[in-house]
Amino acid sequence: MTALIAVVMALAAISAIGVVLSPQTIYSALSLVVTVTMISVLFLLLNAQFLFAVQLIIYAGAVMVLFVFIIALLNPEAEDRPALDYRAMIGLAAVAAVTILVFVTARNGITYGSGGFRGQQVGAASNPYHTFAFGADAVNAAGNVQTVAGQLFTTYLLPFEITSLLLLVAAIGAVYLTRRTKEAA
Amino acid sequence: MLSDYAPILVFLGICVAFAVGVPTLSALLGPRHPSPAKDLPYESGIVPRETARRRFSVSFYVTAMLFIIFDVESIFLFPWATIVRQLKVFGIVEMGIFIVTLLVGLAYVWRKGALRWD
Repeated sequence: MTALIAVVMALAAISAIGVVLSPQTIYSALSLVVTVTMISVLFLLLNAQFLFAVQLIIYAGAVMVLFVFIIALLNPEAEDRPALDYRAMIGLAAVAAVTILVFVTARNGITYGSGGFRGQQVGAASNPYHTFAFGADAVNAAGNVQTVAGQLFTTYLLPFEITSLLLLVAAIGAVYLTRRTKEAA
Repeated sequence: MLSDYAPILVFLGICVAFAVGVPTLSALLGPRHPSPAKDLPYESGIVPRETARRRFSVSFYVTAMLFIIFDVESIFLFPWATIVRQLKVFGIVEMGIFIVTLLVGLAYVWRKGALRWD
C-alpha cells in the first residue's frame, strides 16, 4: 500500500518536472495529463473514489482539452522560454515557502475560522476535519460516493443548486464574450 | 478493499507489456529498408502540406468551454445516481431543478448559434 503510494507519487513528481522542462508546450500538456492522472490514482488509493472520478473527468478530460486548445490557439512556435533570472529565483523561493507552510499547517491541523487561526492536534476529539458524524471506517463501509452524495443532496442542497446557476452564468458568459469579438471582426 | 483493483493492475501490466513488446519484437525480427516515404505520419496517405503547429480557430475554444460547463453538470449525476432510490421524489425534484437551470443555458447557447459551426 505504502509502496504503491510512493510509486504513484514518484510518477506524479517526475511528470510534473516534465511539464516544466519539456521543450515544446504540447509535450508539457501531455506531461500534465500524466500528473493529473497520477493524482487521481492517489485519490483512489486514499479511498476517495468520487474525487478520483472528478479528477479524471474534469481535469484529465475537460480542462486538458481547454489547455490543448489554448496552446493551439496561441502560436506555439513563437514561444519565449523564460530565463532563470532573479525574478524566477524569487518565484521559486515563494513556491518553496508556501509548500513548506502547507505541510506545517496540515501536520499541525491548523484551521482558520471566525476566531482567527487555531491549532489543533490531528486525531483529537475536536478534530476539525471530522465534521461528519461518522468515522472513516463507516464511510468506507457505506461507500465513499454514496457518502458524498448523501451530504451533497441533503445537507448541502442549496450550494448544489447554486452551482447550476454558476454554470448557467459561465455558459452565457462564454457565448456572449465570443459573439462580441466575432461582430467586431 | 485495495485488492478489488488487482484486475486493473493486471490489465495495465498487459497493456504496457503489449505496447513495449510489439515494437521491440518488430524491431528485432522484421526487415528494415528505411525510405523518406516511410517516415511520413501516414504512409500512403495525403502528403503533408505544412507543419501541424499552426494557429487554430477560436471557435474550438468556445466549444471546449461549453464542453467543460456541461461536463461539470454531468459529474453531479454520478453521486446522485448512487442514492437516487433513497432520496425518492425529493431527489428527482432537486436534480430536475438543477438540470432545468442548465437547460436554460443550453437553450441560450443554441439560440445564439454558438453550436453552429461557421
